[in-house]
Amino acid sequence: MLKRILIVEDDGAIAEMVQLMLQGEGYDVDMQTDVQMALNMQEPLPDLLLLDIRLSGADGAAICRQLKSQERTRHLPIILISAMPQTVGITRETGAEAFLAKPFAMQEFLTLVAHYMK
Amino acid sequence: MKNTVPVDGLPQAPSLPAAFPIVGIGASAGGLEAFREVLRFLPADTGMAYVFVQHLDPTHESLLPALLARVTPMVVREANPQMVVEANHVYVITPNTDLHLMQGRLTLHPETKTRGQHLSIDTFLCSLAEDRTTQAIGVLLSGMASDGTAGLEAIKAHGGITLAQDASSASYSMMPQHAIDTGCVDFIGSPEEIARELLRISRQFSGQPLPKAQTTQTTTPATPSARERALPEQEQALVQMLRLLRQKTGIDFSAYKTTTLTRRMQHRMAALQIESVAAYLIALRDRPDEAHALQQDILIGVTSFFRDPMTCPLLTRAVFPRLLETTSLRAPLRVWVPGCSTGEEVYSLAICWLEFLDTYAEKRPIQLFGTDLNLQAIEYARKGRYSPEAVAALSPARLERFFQLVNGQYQINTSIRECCLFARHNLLRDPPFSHLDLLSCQNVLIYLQPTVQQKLIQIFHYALNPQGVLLLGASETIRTATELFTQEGSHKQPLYRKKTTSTRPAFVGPVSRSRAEADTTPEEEHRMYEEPLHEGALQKEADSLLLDRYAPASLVIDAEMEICHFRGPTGPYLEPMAGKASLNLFKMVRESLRLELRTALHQARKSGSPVKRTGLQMSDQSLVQDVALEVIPLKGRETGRAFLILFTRTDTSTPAATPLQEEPSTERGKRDGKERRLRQLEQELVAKREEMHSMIEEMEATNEELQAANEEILSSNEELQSLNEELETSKEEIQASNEELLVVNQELVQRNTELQRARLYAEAIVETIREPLLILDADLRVQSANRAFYQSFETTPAATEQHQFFALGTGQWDIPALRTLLEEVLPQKHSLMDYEVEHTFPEIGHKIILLNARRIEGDALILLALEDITLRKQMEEEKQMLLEQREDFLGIASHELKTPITTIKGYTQMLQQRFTRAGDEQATTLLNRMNTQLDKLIRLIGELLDLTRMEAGQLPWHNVAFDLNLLVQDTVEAMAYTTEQHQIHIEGMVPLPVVADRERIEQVLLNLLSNAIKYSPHADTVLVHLSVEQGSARISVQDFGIGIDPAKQNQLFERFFRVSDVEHETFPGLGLGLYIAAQIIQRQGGQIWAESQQNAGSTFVFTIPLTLVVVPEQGQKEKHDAEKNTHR
Repeated sequence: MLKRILIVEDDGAIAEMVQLMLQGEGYDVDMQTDVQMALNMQEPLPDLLLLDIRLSGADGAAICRQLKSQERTRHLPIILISAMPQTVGITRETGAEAFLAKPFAMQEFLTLVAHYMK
Repeated sequence: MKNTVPVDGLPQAPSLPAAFPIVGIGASAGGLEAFREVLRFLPADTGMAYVFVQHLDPTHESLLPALLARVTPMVVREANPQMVVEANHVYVITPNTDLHLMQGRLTLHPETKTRGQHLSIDTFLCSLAEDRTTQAIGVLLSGMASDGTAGLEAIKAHGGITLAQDASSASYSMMPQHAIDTGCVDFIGSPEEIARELLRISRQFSGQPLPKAQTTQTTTPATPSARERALPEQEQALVQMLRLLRQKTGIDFSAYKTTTLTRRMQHRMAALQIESVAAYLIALRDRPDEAHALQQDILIGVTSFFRDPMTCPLLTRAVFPRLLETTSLRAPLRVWVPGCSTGEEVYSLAICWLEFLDTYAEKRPIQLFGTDLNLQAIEYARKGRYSPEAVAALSPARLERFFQLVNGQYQINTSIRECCLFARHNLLRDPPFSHLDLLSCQNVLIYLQPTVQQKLIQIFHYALNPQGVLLLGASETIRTATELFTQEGSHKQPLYRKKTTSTRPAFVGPVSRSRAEADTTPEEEHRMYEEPLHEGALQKEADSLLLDRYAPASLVIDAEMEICHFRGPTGPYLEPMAGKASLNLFKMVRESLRLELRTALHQARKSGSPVKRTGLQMSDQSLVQDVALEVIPLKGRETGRAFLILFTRTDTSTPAATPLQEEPSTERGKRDGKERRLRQLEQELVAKREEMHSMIEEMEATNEELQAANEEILSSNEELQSLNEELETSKEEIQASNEELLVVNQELVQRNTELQRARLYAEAIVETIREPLLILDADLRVQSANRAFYQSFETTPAATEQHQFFALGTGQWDIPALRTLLEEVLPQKHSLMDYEVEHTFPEIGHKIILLNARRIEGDALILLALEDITLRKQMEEEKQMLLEQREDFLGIASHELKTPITTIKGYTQMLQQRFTRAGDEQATTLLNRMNTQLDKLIRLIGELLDLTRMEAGQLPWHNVAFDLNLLVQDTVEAMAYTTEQHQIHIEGMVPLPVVADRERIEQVLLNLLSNAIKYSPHADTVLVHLSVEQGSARISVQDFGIGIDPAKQNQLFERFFRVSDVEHETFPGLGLGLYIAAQIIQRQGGQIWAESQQNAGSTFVFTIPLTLVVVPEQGQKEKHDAEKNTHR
């Protein structure tokens, strides 16, 4: 069964690029721009969530904290992505598994993703 | 003298073995002849030595000894050094030398000149004075300039004797005259007279010491020291003061009243704050200006225009008209004003005269002489410029007519000045002006001693023309000189007219006159008082001769019954009475004539026509004479004022004891009856006569009593007079000090104006300033407020002034903290600094006011400034907002820029991957390049943003306390994702929280870590080390990469520095990372540096100071570690 990755990113171009990149690696990739939908994601949960921090109309960090506080989604690995430079420590704050700064190197990105797909 | 000051002039005991007088003779031009003359009259054995000091031509051999030896039997020698002076020798100075006398020996010195003048005479005479004191004799002969005067003064001061050649005999009188003028010369005469005087002195010396009083003048009190000793201390001081004054100013004030002098001296003492008279005398002697100051003080110059308002009308009414009538028309009217001070009185008289002339058709010139002792005053008077105050009392009409305004001062018109002459003149010494029509001497006499006053009155009498008028001050009189002047008008108008005839010589010479001070030769003097009596004509002389020879015995008497003239043989009719000498008619005329004369005079005075009495019998011892007398009132004089009394003898003398009974007794019966009748009548007559005699005696007794009473009244009148003068003097002195006070007052007014100006200046500043200001008093009540206050707070003075500050408005200032602070301003001299009050005012809305207060020095007042900083605060807030907006914008911009780049980078890498798999190497290479450029772009964007934020520098630093260990862990973790190749190890720890901006420190760490990874492409480890050193947290990041060229290490933290020499392409970026990191660490108070070896790697170290060591409540382990750290 293919590993499924959910991308919550409001910038379509990036989302599409990331999707292509991950599909190239053989992952099943869903995209979600609606934050509410992301919060209320249905079972089965994806294997990994890529979450942009700066979303139009919502705060990715807040969503992450919320997901990590819910029993149902607590164990869903989350990688936070942002173009904001100073976000060190955000993983501690939000409980996310990792943080990736944009722009990122593909190899770096895929290594990180693979790490959480074990 | 023991207790008083050692003012010079007290002879010291000479310590000479064989003492004989030494005569120092000073001479210059024309002096040799004079000295030869002196020597000619001196014998060989005077017992004195003579030293002749002459100004010699320095370029010629002196022939003096030879020239002198011809005229004297004494030995003449040229002076040699150390030559002992012997009596009966003459010593002569040699050219080019100054001669001194020391302990009886002559010493020679090279000649010195003071201001180009020869002073060799002074030099020698001074040494002579010191060496011989009372046995020094100085003689000054013909010459020019003033050498010798100081020498004579020195001799005089040491008790010696001084002589000088008189002006008439000297070829050049300047030199002796100069000495004479200073009043230091005892004897003045021709060379012959000088020789005789020297002879006389020598005799006295050879006998006994010379009593000095004989040679010195009688009027100067300052000379004999013996006299000084006898005086009480106060007077003695005064005498010394007078002497010093005379020495220094050349003016002898001894004629002044003692009280005046004492007062003026005390005034000076007060001015100098000297308490003892002795100290003052020293000051007078030593201070160069003091003598002058004292002189000015004594010469009180109180005067003003038309000082006595009565004077001018009096002159116009009673004096000027008569002067016009009686004096010759063409000659100018002569007026003298002695003691004129600064000239106001002179000009007043001139004005008065000119105004008087307005009422007359004819114009008479007038010549006014103003004289004063005070040279400065005279110079002032000559200029004729007066201050507005001085002319304030003059009417505008007079100002307009007689003055001109020059530079704010009033100048007397030239026409007036031309007829006024001013000169320095010593009334007591210099000869008076003569032929005067008017003499105005007001308030001068009051300063002088009564005897001097009397003498001056005589001088004035001489100086005036017949019919001349003397004008005195209100409290001055002619005293007893009623025979010289008749008083006109009332007692309050001191106007006197000169009487034409007089029983005394008209001119008595200057008051303090002595031979030494005489300015005129005896001939001149003689002429002076002979002239007015002669009045010219030969005819008159002939008349008087005839009169003397043929005229009957006669007397001229005046109204006071004083005999003015005797004519013919009056002896038989007169008999001097025992007792005080008197010229009174009734005291001189023989007793037997007295009664008839008295009645006749009485009749004559009444009728104004001659009265004759005949058949009078005058008994003179044994003789009885028949006498007739006639009393004739003299015409041409005021009626009844003078009388001519003629005595004539009507028969030859018969023996007094003519016995009637011895007549032959013929016709007895008839005769008996007649004789009886005669005898009866005679007896009756005798009885009557005796009766009358006793009556007359009674009357005369009464008369004498009256006389005595009169004299008593007169003397008390004199007392009153002197009291009055005293008062007048005090008045003048008060006036003088009043003038001083006026000056002081004027100064104060000036100061006041300046103060006023300063106040207005300050007020203008306060009013103009845009900051509201309040002045509060000690009770914090508003004293005043400036306009800015009323405008800013939209309030009125009525609602502000005198209100409590805390009660102003709605009580917005009534804040307890502010109240306390303000109340401390005054007592504790605090200032209130930047106290902020925020309040919504009903009138002006919400405001933030900054209060500053400080004490105004000198007053118990507070200056309170209220600055409206509302706008400023708003602007600051807006600026802050803008900054934050910019920060947001930068964040968004960075985000928005990075988003498309992320996409591009992603696709590029995907393409790269594909082409690599497909083995298209060319495409891979191209894409690699593209990727590198992309990285470069990304880095650029990042750095640009960082830099902008840094340079702006205005972002607030959010300093918080945080755990550095945790930050390092997080950062390392975040970095770990970016590299697969490197392992980042953390060693050590910082056991204390640091206080810093966490995000900035993180930025630094990120930068150092990424550098470490970037510059060690072939290594696999990065070491991060934490520790505490010297109160700072120390963090180092070590890599094992390419290292840095040591030459460039110091440029590492500069802007735009890049490691460019090695694989340039591999390390993109602007080179701003380390620069920014360094800026951040420095701002945090830490340090940053690098340690590196080429090709062995680099270590970057930075420190953050640990501020307060507050150990947070944490686990036991951490606490333990902390202890371990500190112990390490």
